[in-house]
Amino acid sequence: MPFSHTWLPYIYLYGVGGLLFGSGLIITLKSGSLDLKRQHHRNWLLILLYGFIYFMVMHALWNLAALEILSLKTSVLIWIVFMAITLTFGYFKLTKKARA
Amino acid sequence: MEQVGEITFHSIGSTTVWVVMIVYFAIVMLFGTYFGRYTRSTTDFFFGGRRFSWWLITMSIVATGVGSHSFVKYSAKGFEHGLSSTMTYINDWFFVPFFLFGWLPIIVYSKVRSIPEYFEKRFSPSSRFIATILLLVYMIGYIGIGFLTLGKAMIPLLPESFALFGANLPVTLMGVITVIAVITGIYITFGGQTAVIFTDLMQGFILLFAGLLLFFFGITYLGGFQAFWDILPVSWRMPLADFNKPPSFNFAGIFWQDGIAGSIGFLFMNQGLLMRFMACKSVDEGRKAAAMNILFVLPISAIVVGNAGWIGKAISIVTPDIVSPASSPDQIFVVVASIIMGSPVLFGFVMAALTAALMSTVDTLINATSAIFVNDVYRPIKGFVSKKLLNLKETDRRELGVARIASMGITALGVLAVIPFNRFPTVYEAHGYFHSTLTPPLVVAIFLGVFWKKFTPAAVITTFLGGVALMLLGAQYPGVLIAPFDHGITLNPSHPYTYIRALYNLVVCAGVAVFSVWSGGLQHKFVKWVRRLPNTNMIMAMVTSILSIIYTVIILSFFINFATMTPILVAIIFSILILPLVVNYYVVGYDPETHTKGLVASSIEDARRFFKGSEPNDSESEKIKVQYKIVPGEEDEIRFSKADMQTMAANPGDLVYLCDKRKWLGGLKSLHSAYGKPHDEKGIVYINEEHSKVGIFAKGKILIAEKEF
Repeated sequence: MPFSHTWLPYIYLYGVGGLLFGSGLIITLKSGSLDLKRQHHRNWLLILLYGFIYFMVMHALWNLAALEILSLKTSVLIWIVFMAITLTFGYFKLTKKARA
Repeated sequence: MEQVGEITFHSIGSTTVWVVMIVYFAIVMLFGTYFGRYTRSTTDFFFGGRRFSWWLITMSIVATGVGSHSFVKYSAKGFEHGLSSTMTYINDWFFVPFFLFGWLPIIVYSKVRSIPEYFEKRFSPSSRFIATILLLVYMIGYIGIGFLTLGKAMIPLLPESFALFGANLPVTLMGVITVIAVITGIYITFGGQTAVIFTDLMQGFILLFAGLLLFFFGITYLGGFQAFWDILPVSWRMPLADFNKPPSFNFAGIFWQDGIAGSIGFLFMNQGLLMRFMACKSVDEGRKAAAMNILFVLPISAIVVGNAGWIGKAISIVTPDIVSPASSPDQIFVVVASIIMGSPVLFGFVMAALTAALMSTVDTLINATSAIFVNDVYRPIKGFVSKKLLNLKETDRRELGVARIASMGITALGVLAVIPFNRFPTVYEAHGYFHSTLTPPLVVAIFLGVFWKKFTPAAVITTFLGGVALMLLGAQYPGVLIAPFDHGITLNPSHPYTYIRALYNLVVCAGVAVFSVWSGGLQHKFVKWVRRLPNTNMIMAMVTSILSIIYTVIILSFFINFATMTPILVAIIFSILILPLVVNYYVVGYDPETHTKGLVASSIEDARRFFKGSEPNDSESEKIKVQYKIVPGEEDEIRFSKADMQTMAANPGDLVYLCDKRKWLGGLKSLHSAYGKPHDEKGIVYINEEHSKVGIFAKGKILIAEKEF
């Protein structure tokens, strides 16, 4: 498989996409529309960062499985563990205040 | 247009399939008609009364997003290129910060009903006029794509011709689309946004179910997931397409066309989608709906819409006599469903879900386009022609009538828009070309309008006209102008740079915008100097005439091709230099402070203040349970006890949301109002007769009240 079909699109997607995503965060933070003084805006920032990593991990595992670097089962298992950890962490983080 | 050597299908559906489809459609239409009774005003008709919970909107967006031609076009690309057909569903996160904390709060809090209205508030009436034209073209084009897909999905089920009164009538694509358009128009015309939201909610669930059911049957047919995975060649398992080949499906082109222009277009300028978010009970609920949709629903949807193509490809490898590798890609969904579902009832159900979902997309777009028509064409014209003042009820009644007639007209234009799109090999390419070409000027204008305070009316109008002129030139000379952006993608002479042209178009529009803002100081100096001249008006009239001639020549040269590139390019550059001067001369009264207050990302607090009419109250509060009591009065305020007000940390004048306690209703029975003077009956809220009608509250049911801000 040529590099142009394996990791180049991935690097381009999260490189250029990451620049746009990062500039989105910087602009909204600088403009004050994403206001970190507010608790629920801090939660939103975490969700936004989580979303970016979530898609990055998903595509990376998929690539590895497609290229048979990881077996399909291992990739799916890692994905499930990743989801379980992040969602559990996220749930406790986001509801910590409500429980307190 | 069918490709040479492609195998096309007819008469796949049996009578049972048709019966199942008709029953399904009848149920959907009854469902829509039932919820249509909740439409009491134009606000309800277009925005569903701003009352719904995030989960309901998330699911109703499924039918709008997924239904939109996705089954046909992604199955086609899945069949041609494998699992990378999913990439367009998994590249939308990059612009989410801009949307959630920029555009969404602005459109809700500034109370604009349409995107062109935003342009008037942020820039000038002339900007609104041009934005309206561009947006209507975009929306009608989108409707055309929807109709084309519907037609392509239905054709394989129909015979090649049928006999009527002794005459043999051929079944044509346009004939099928016309019949579908008539059916589609019915419940949107009489239902409105609430009907659409609830119909889409039902269809959202059914679509996901039907798509996953198809995947399950397909995988079972092939002997399990591992067998399916092993059948696919490695290149077909990749989640992203090859970087720059083939021209009909490559990563770089699709990244710029879909991931950038498409994502901003879908989130920022798809009026149908925006109206869904505006129907959420609050901005935060809209954020949740968008985030949940992109994070979880879209990846599932990617499997739902593309799997028929992947299964078809796998079958074509194992048993090419069952599914030929030469099958028409746009028909592969129907073909695969008919093979693997086994029972005609299940096949009928899947086909009904597909076609009904496509209709959902189309009806949402028709509803949204008619909102733009009423708001940005009818109202301004009516205000100009007739000065007669009507009361609010009479105005609302008339506008509702206009909205319904507009829906019919827009449906007809959507059918006509099918003709140019049908020239592309697949719906995917037609849609890709459409997005690359029509979204960039508006995308750039909205984006810079929201995030760049210095963006002026002169800059936005120059972006629209100068940007479009450079785009037309690019379309005419792709080998010269678009080639530098092509990322190594080969130019296909019959459809040059279908996707990557989006990058060129975005760059030229953004370039024109930046230049216009950068040269703003010089423009003002020049206009001041011109104003001091004795015959200013005549000079500016002459300059305007020259500009009009230049733009006429540019448009004519695009269609007739009577000039070479260089003189046209020089003329466009000249127009980009002159146009801001003309706009600055004629557009007077633009004040950067007042025209950006509450309308750019850096002044969302101002927008909240404008929305509420006073200072927002963001003190921490709790929700309370109450029962309602109807009291006489006409004021739009509801009254709680002092103790309840204290629990909610609310003051008179703050905004409140009152909702039926039953969460599964998703906010259908709810209302927004303001707190009135407190009383002493704890646990009781005083509302008037109108509130009870708007909220559709049931007697004896407990309500939940929460402070907005």
